[in-house]
Parts: sequence; C-alpha cells; structure tokens
Amino acid sequence: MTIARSGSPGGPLPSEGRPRDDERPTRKPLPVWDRLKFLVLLVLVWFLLVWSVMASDPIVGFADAMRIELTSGWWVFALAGLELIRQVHFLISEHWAGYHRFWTQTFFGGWERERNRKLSDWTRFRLWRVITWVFWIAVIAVVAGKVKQTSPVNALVNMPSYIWHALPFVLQLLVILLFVVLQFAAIFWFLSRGGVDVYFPDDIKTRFSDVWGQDHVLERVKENILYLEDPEKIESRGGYVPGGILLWGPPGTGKTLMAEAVAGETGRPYVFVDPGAFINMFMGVGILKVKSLFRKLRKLALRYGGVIVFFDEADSLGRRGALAQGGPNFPGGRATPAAWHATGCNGFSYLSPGVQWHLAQRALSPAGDEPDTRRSKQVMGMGMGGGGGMGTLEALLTELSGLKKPRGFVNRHVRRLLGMRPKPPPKYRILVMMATNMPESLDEALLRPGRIDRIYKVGYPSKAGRVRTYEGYFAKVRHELTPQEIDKLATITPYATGATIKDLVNEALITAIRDGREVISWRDVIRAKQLKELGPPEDVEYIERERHAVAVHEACHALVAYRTRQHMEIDIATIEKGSDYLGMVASIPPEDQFTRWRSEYETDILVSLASLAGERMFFNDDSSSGVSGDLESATTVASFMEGFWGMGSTVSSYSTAKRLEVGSPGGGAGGRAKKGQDPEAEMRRALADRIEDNLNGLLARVHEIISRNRDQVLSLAHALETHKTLSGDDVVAVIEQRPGPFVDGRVYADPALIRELEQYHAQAAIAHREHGSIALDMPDAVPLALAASAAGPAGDGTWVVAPHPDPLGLGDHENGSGPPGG
Amino acid sequence: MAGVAIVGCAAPQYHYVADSADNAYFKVPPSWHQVSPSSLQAAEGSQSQEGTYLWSVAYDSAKKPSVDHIFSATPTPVAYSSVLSLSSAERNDLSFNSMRDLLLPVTSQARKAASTAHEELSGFASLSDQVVTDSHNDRGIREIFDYDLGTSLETFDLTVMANSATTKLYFLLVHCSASCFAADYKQISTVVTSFTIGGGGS
Repeated sequence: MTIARSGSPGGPLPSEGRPRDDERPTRKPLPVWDRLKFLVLLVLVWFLLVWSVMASDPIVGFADAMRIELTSGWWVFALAGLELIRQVHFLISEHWAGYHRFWTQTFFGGWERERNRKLSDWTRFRLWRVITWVFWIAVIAVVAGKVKQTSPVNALVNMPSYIWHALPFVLQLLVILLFVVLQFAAIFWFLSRGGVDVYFPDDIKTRFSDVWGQDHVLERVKENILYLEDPEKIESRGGYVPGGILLWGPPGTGKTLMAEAVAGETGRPYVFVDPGAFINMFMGVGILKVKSLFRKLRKLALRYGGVIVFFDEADSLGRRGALAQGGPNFPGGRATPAAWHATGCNGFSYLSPGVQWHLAQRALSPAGDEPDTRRSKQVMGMGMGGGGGMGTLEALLTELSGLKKPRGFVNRHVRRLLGMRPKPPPKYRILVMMATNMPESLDEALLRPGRIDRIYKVGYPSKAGRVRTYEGYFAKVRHELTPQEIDKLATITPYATGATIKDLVNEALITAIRDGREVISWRDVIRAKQLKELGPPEDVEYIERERHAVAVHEACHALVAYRTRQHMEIDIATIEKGSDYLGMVASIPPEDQFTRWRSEYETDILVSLASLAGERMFFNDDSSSGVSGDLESATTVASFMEGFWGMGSTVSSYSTAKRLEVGSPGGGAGGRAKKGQDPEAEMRRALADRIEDNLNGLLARVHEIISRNRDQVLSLAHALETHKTLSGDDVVAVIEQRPGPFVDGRVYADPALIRELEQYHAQAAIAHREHGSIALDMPDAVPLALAASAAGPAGDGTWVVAPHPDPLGLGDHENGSGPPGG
Repeated sequence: MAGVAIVGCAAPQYHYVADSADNAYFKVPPSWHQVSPSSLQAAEGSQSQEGTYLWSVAYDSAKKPSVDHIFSATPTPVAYSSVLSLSSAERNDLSFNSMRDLLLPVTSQARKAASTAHEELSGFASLSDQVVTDSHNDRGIREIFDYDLGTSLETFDLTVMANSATTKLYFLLVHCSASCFAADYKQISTVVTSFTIGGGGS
C-alpha cells in the first residue's frame, strides 16, 4: 500500500515533517484569533470614541453618541474595511494557489526585486526612517488636532506653541524624574564608597626587610617594583612593565605582609582594596566600584607616575573559573601541600598544554566529596552575597586589559567634531597585586599575561626561612633561647607560617608573663606550642586498666616507628586525652624532603598496623576499636601504593584506568612476581585482594618486630603511664635504655623492673578481661626519672607536639575512636 | 460591528451644542440651524450690561437662520445661549432679580423703569417663575413670560444660571410667537431642560 504524498494544506503531513512556508502552494491558514484581532481592536477603538463623546458632553446619550461617532469616527470604519479586505485576501490565498502565487511571487516578489535593484540597503533604511518619522508626525498632528479641536495641519503649525505652554508641566515632570534618579544615584554613590584605601609613600612603615622566609618570592616582587619605579629601563628596550602579580599560597604565609612591604618600599601611592569591597546588595554597585576604583587609579598613576593596587583575598573576585590554569604549578587538589610534600617530580610541566589542561581539569573535578559545587555558588535573590559575580569580575577584566578608549569629553567629542584624531590614552602604570589562598577559584581570564603577568607561590617557609622568621620575632622580645633551640623549634614546627610563628612567640611571651617572668624560656615556647596546636589538654583521668591499654597501644606505635621509620622522627608520644584522641604518637620529618618512597610508605603502614598487632599480642588476641584510624591510614596508603603510585604489583594507574573505563589490570604485571607464584592466579587477583594481602604481610612483619621488642614496649608503656607525655628524645632514651632529656631510660635496663612490668601487664590483662581493677600497683619508677629537669614530669614540662597536617594521616598514630579494650 | 452599524444607521436625534471650555451644554433638534456666529457677535457686542461674553451661540428653526429672529418677534422657535464672565462688581450685584431682568424687564421694578424710559414694551405676562438648582450647586431662575412686541404676542423661555463661584453667568433663551410656543412647547421644553452647566468654580 502506498501513501500518496500530499502537498495540500489539508492533506496529511509528509513524512519529512512540516513543510517550509516558502514551499507551500497556498498561504498558511491563519488562526481565528489572528484573523479577528485587528477587527476586535478597531471595535474597541470605536467604542472608546463613543465613550469619549459621552464623557465630553454630559447630555449626550449612548445611542446618540454612537450615531455621532458613526460619522465622526469614519476612519475606524475605513480601517476596518481595509482589514476586512486584507482578511478576504488572505482567505483567498489560503485556498487558491494561483492567486497566492500571483501576489507573493509576481506582485510583491517583483516589487521587492525591483526595490532591491534600485535601492541599496542603506538607502532603504534611510527611506524607511523618513517614512517612520512622517508617520509619527502625522499621528501626533491628528491626535493634537483632536485634542485641540482643530485641523491636524493647524495643530502641527501650533505645535511649538503647545510645547511652549506645556513646558512648565514638562519641567515639573523632569524635576520629579530628576529627583527620583538622584535618589538612586545618591544610594549607589554611597554604596559604591568604601573598601578602597589609598596610602601614600611613607604612610606604611613595613619594609622588605620585615618579610622573612620568602626570599625567593620577595626578590621577584622587588624586581616588579624596580620596573614600576623606573619604567624607562624596560620600556626603552621595547618591553613593558609587568602589570600584575598574583601571590598565592596557604593562609598566613606572608602574602599580605609582602604587599604591605611593597607599599612601604615604593615611592608610589598604594591602593588597598578590601576583600569585601565588591560584595554588594545591589546589582551594578560592584561594577560602579570597579570603575570608580580604576578611575582613581588612573588619576593617581598619572599624577605620581605609577600606582600599586592590592586586592587582598582576590578569590572574592573570582567565582567564575574552576581552575587557574595560568599558574605553572598549581596543585591539582584543593589543598596546598607543603614544599616537601610535592605530588610529583615535575608537576605537569613536561606535558603539552592541552594535556596539562585535561589533567588539571580531571584533578579538580569533584571526586565524590563535592558533587555539586554549583549549588554553593548560587546567588541569592537581590543579588545578595554576590562577590565577584554580577558583572564585577567582567568589569575588572575590562579595566585591567580592555579596549583603551580615548578618555575625556573634549578628547572624544570636540576633537572629533573638529576633524582631529582623538589623542590615545596615556600609559597608566598600574601594578596590580593580588593575594589568595584559593587560586583555583580565580578566573582564567584574570590570570592571563597582560592582566596578571606573574604568579608566585608563597608557600610554607623552608626551615631556613622559619629559623629566620623565629629569629626575627624573638629579636623583638626578651628570651633566653639558644640558636640551637631556635633551630630545633624550626624543625619541630614544619608547617609554621609567618603568622603562626608570630602567634607562637606571642603566646610564649604570654605564658612567661603569666608565670611572672620577663624572659621567654624554652619551656614557655613548648607550652605555647602545645597550647596552640593541641589546645588545652582535657583533664581526664583514665581508669588504670584503660590507661595501661592506651599506653601499650601508643608504645607499640612509638617502638615500631623508632625501629623501622627513618624518614620521620618521633616528636611526641602521649596518652593524655585530647579533644578527639585518647593518645598519640606524632612524628615530624627531620628535614625538608620533597619525595616519598615505597620503603617509607611501607614503614608508615607498619607503624599504623603496630597498634593492632600490639593489642592482639598483649591482650591475647583481643583488640580495640581504637585501631580504626590506624587501619584506615594503612589501607589508604596500601591502596595508593597498589593502584596509584606503581608500588604494588601493577604499573598502570588505577584511577586513570577507572576513569577511562579500560578496566584495571590484575597482579603480576609489575615485574614483582615471586618464584612459585602462579601468574594466572596472580592476574585474577582483584585490587582489594592485593591490598589485603599486602597489609597482612606487613601485619605479620610488625608482629615480629613487636615480639622481638616486647620489653621495650612495656618499658615505653610504663614511661607513658608514669609521665603521660614523652618527647621524641625520651622515647628513644627509654627504648635504648640511656639518659634522655627528661626521662632516664637506664632504669629499664634492670631485669627486675622488666619482670615487674610483665607481672603488672599480666594483671592488667586479667583486669581488662574481667573488667576489674588491676591487682598490682604500677611499678614505681618515679625516683628514676631525672629530677634535674626544671620542667618536672608532672605534665607542665611535657613536650607535646601537634600532628602535622599530613593528608594521609601517616605521621600520627592516634588511638582515638574508642576506648581500647572496651 | 454590523449591529452597531444598524444602531447607528439613523442620524443623531439632536444636535448637541457644547462649550467645553465653560461647560455649557444643550441640545436642539437637528432641523434647527446655527445662526452665523459672526453676525451674532456683531449684534450682541463684546460686553453686555451684566458681563463679558465668553461664548455665544444661536440656533434658528427657520429655514433661513437669521440673527434678526433672535432679537425680534419670530414665528418659529429660536434658541440663543451665552456664557458671560462676571467681574467682582458684577458678582456683587448679581441676584435672582437681576437674572430675571437679564435680557428683558421681567420684575416690576425693571418694567417700571423701562416704561419710564418710554420703551416700546407692553403686554407683559408672567407664565412661570422658578428657581433652579442643579447637583453642582449652581443656581438660577427659569422664567416664561409674554411680551407684545407690536406685531404679535411673543413668548420667551429664559433660563439664567450662575456657577457656584458666581464667576460665570449662563443663559439660554428660547422664544417664538405665543401660538408657536404653545404648538411647539414639547420641543422647546426639551431644548430648555437639556440646558446643563458643568458646575465647578472655573
């Protein structure tokens, strides 16, 4: 059966869909409303005229008003007649193809062709403009004639007179309008004030010499200032003064201080832009602010030969880009790791830009932790909370590097009127400095060369920088710290920034003053550090058996850390309960290290697993939930080793394989197949199995290590139970049975004490099992502690060091999830 | 539209006369014709005894309208209306009696004064005397009276109103011979009762 294709408007639709209008043989039928709407409108107009007659003469009735308008409203009928003819014409066109063709193609088509041939588009535009003008003048004349009850021509002639008479009223309206506009202008003017402070040379006393620990960045910044001070130096050689610097890095690393130093050093005005300056209630205020800011900057730049503007917390301007790809080595993640915790040997710098962008985008894409970042960026009603949004950022971009249009009324209009070319704008030497700790939230367009030419990372200071910073701040107060102690302090505060160092020194001073002393001692510094990093200890007393269990748990960590881990030093071991842990062993890297190795990760896992192995060993295969954090760390590291870092039995990256959906490889491909292994079986092992196997192997190793060092574990547990907190050196002293700074480890060389400790532990294990109290008293070793320590072992001289912000939680081994042995 | 057209097929039943500026309105049958405004103006002058003319109009039911029909006896009805502005002195002198005597002596004092001056007016007879008040608080009088103008007895229907602020004086005079008036009273009454002033203080 064949379905005939019909082109008629009433026929079924062709399979290709609705026909194009110019393909139809007849006119497309009009909907009823379109057919009637003008007639309805004219009826309404006519009744309006009738009403007008009745309104203007109170004695005219409705019927007579209609009769009157029948004659005086003739033009409505004329228009209605024309509309009627038009609709009839359409109706015929809808049904008669020949008629439709004649009008569309022959008549109008021919007319249009003729018109296009004779008149250019521009002429037609002008002609149409004239017609439009004439039409509206005619309409106005007719209306005015009606209103003034005279002929349209008379009304038109008298129009100037009408306007003149209406002028007072018009002026009145204009004044009202002006008042309304002025109200808004005044509101916006007031709202666009503030947030911008101008400092002139010598207003700020901070100098470059006050910025410590960031010398490499400082040198670069100085270079920019030099060029701003003497632009000819670079411009005479065909270059240009770099216009923008972005300082990015973790909070407190001295970005603002550096900018302040720039303000102090430079001989140019310095404009500080408050981070909140562009957060407005109303749409458009931000744009006004940016424009007024740059107007001010240009004025200052011209007057003083240059100006520096500093946007603090520049991320408040961003909010458009997910990534600042212009930065050469922005980290892929959101955290900004310390210098020694670099994620790769070369970053992405050896890759092509396209690949860099792709990888960076992938790295920044939410990995489950933030599935819908857009939601958090929703601008509320009234545009409130809009930071750099609502056109502010765009305005800033344009001002930074937009079209350099000629400025000034005379320059732009009068000169052009006289046929002169407008003068180009002068060179405004504006150095834009921005600081942020969220570079990835800045717009890419903002960071392109020409706007922000130089991007410097102001990271955590190196050890040398920290030493210099400590020296700088300690020089301002009275202290008795030796250079060695300051060096030690710099070592045990690896992530300290300028701000935290300043704070620590101040806290130490407060501690000293509270004790009634004028001079800061080493003890004050350590107490201040403990207070700042751990908060005040919770004054909680464990029950005896639990204290012992926690001590054993931490002792296992400390022992395995000491025995196996060479890249970290124990900083502190404590069983004092903190806000979210029962005890901890914190480690620090003794030196700035930038790479991590497989052997190191393995020892990290060993240290993590030490708690589980130790609890099982010392408590007859019982173990607490306190190991959960340790197991999490161990599993995480083992997973990364196996699937990401090529430290397992495969080479390919699991994350990439998963993302590209190519499937993950089995084991055995990493060249680490051992003798006797069945390659097929190895291939089939899933990633999770391989991780579990690896962890089990390491657990066996750590069990062996603890078994070999059982005495040392009990010694350490005893020392912890006695002193609550041990410094790293004391831990080593106890294990090595030698004198430490606060604890004399030699007492643990006594086999009798070790026997007592074993008996005590045996009783503690029984008490643990039976939920009773320990039958024996803890062996008394207090007299053996070094009484010479001024700090004393009573807790006030404890060395408590906070865990460093290790993203994987490797350095600290807390016993935090629950009471051990519960 | 068609229905509307049917309604409007006939011409208006009346001719509506309006002075929009001064808010004076009345209607006359469509067969009445307007008297030439220029001849009317020439006949009345710019200033009357009572005030200054702001607007004047006259309609004549005769086939050939003439200003003479207004100011003399006529066998067919004529309507003559004016608006006068009143000065403060004129306002002070304004009273219902002065309204009655606006065009012809109607009150006894006025008639006595007129006879003293030997004017040729006789045969006065008052047919109706009303005080008129409208919703805008405009007040005035309506007088119907006869006068013998020598040729025949003429009946006059005079309505005089002042606006509430007494700044303007409005009048409508319809007259014709007594026989004509009696014959066409219905038509004349329609004209006179349609006389409306807009009120207000302007």
